[in-house]
Amino acid sequence: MTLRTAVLSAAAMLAASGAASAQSTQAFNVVGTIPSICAMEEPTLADGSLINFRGLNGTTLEVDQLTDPSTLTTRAASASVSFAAVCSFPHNLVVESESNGLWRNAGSGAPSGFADGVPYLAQLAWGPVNGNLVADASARRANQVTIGVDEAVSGEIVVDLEIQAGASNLRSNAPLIAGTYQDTLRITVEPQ
Amino acid sequence: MMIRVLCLALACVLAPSLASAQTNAQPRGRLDIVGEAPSACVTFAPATISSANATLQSQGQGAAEVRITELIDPQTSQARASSINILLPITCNTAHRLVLRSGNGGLLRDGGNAQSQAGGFREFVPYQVSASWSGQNVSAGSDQVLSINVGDGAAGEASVLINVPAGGAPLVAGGYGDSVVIELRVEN
Repeated sequence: MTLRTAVLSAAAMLAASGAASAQSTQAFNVVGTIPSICAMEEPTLADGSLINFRGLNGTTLEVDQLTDPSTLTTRAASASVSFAAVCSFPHNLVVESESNGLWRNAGSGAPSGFADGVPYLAQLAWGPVNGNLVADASARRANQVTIGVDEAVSGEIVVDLEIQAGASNLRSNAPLIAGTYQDTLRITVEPQ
Repeated sequence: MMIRVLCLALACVLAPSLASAQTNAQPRGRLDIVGEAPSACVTFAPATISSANATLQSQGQGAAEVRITELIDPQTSQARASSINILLPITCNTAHRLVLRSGNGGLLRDGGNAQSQAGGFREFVPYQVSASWSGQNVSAGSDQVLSINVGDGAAGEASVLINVPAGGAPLVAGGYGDSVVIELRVEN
């Protein structure tokens, strides 16, 4: 039996009982669900934000001159990278440094007097929240920060990276042992 | 009964849409930060730790002059002893070789000839050179090339000792000079 047939049947019964003037109403509950969506796009550079970085190639941000050629110590560098994102529910922003700093790829350790790790700071801004990830290169391990966001947000996750002059995992202004240095930042938006 | 059926039908329509939205979402970002510390050696201004009858004068970036105060004994025209020990701060961030060589092989009179012995006088004064770097010591006459191989990065002070011996045949009057080049070669 359809809904229309049921209503008509009820009206017919009411007419037969002599209550033709009575009105009949029926409430319908219409429900729907907005899906919980979080999405993020590839990183982009903020205009004019590069200092001593060559630019962004896909997801790779390369330091132009990691060392000062006259001292072999770390040169200062900074960049601002944005990830266009949307999250339609309260969520957590998780930023993880894979190695807790830029570390030399090859070799094990460094000879006396040399550093093989470069600390950096990642300052985060996402909607109403801000946070810092201090990748201090004190040890080669994962390091992450989790920031709770109690509302839906659409916009850009901005990551301001800063490498300070002379920074190293040994002491300030320690020379860097030669090699390629690297770290990976992973940014995740996840349910609370 | 019919409303419930209707709602279930709506739910059936929404369910695939929700699943699709979650599957398509990519709430992850990645940023690879890389940098290169190139292989290099740098030196800084040298300093004297001891000297006798000689002084060191800096001549700017990468150069210095050792001046022998009295090259000869004025009574005999024979060479007087002199020595100077110089410390040269060095930082090499990879395997390298320190090479030390003399331009003339000894102190040579301006316009002179190292082989000349005319009239019993000479115009060439060989000397002794010693170098210490990264735990290794080498020593030789000024007519030879000194070399120290270091298999990794090293930072510290190289010691260079120059000893001019006294005596020998008297020296022809004139200005004597030599250039000692300390070269750092990156090995990879």
